[in-house]
Amino acid sequence: MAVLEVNRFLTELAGLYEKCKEGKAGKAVSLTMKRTDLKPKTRKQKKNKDEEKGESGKDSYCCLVRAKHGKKKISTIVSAKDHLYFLSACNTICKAHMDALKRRDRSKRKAKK
Amino acid sequence: MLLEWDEFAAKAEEMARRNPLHTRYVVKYKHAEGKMTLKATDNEECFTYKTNQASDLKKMEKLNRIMSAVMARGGDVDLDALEDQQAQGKGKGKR
Repeated sequence: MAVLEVNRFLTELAGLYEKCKEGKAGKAVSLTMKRTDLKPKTRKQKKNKDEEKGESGKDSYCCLVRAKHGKKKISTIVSAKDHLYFLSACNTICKAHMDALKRRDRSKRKAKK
Repeated sequence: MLLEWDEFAAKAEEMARRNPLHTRYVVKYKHAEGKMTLKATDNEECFTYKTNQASDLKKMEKLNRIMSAVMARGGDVDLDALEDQQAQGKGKGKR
């Protein structure tokens, strides 16, 4: 399972949803979030560049995000710094692609089971 | 445990704050069936919510916000402060 950079992950995530729409029935896209103590891949490089702006100690935990569609799995690590950016992008992608859900007017309360 | 939305959202958030390191939160979307499943579990308890309503997307978005904030920043994260930051950021972009 590849750990991707945040932007790359978002692109791939959109691709997964796209595939899910085209593909035959049965395959779902799942998006998992989990707290982890892994560091983002780029942290070291970044540190060298901007000489740690006093943030490194605080966010020793990050959010690991995984996405899966069929056998294809991708993942990324979102640090506290990137989190707002990632979140809004992710929400936009999710909303844009989940268009098979029913609109309000039709069969309103069918979801209850 | 299959729940209604309000209960699900409340319990999921509470779980994430109580036990952030063991909680995972999954959004699963099946296009072919037009269904979405949300799940939160810490390996002891498990809450799920299932829907096929587009109107639930908004709620999901909101919960995503909470869960990812808790997971990226820790259980004691101040959501209101985050919202403010986001609002400022939004001014520049579209949406």
